[in-house]
Amino acid sequence: MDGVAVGLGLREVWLDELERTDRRALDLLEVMIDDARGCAHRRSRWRRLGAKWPLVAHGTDLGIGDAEGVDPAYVGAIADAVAALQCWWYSEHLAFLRAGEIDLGHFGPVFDDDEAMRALSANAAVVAATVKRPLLLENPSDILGWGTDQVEPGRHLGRGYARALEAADCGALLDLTNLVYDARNGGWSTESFLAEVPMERVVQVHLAGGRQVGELWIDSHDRPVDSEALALLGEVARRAPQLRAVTIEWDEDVPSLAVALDQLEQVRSVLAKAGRR
Amino acid sequence: MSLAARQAFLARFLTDPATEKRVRSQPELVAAELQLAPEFVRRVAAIAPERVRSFRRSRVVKAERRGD
Repeated sequence: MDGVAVGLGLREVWLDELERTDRRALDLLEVMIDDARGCAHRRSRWRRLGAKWPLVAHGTDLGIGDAEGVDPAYVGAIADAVAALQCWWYSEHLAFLRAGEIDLGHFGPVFDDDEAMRALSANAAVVAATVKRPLLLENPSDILGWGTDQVEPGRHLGRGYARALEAADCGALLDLTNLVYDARNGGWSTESFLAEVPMERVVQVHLAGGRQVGELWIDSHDRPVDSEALALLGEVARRAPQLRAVTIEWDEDVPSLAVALDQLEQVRSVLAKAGRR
Repeated sequence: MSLAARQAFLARFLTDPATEKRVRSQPELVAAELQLAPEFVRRVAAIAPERVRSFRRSRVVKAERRGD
């Protein structure tokens, strides 16, 4: 199996320092592609970084599960940005975002039934035809506990994710921190979920750290990488032959670049033990 | 019951505390009024209140991050 690239989700506070950073400090950067739409200055700075490191695109505003369809103008703008930045692939959340007059502003669950899969398939076809880069879908955080009323919640959620990947005919972005926290919150094992996921579709992994709020663990992206998620990476790296990249996300209390790069060292170490570095 | 109707119902439940309260207290009545499948409405009504609060907190955080 090939080596796996490691990188960071690009954050504004690191821009200046990254321009001065040695190329060998990381292998790639993940850009929040929604922020590149219509912002020539930001796109220009990212393009400079893209000359140094490969870029991959991550989005949050698509709503690929929306019954009412995706917005062709939005998808077109994403396609322009992805092409301008020469991103390797485009990833999004498996979620619905808008319904009727309501913009959820957060990720609603994609139901596991035929009509939902038809909507997902149609929306993914629009993205594939427009963006013309591989599409990856990220396993959703089961924040509502939508799967927890099932006899085997982990298996049920894993099967739902696998079915969605097939319907969209796309790759998988596995967010291992989401998975670890869902399992903790729901009282099931991460393996029960992973056993249902087609590992040959896994292309990228997200890692982050979160916190416990009340009784629930939340993937708040404001702490060092969760140690259980980091350990799980080794298992996934051994089982996912097409895994190409691991990126760390940090959205609140963003640390210095040095601290973030130190986290990447831990990721490299896990990948090396799994024979992927 | 269409996918669009189910998504719209869940979206209202998640964003409007008054709707959430009514769905939790009178799921059968709400299902009949909106012509939704009672089983689906009961499943939505069974979402733990703490999880709905968590969803709303995350929603606010994301809106602040976007500068809304």
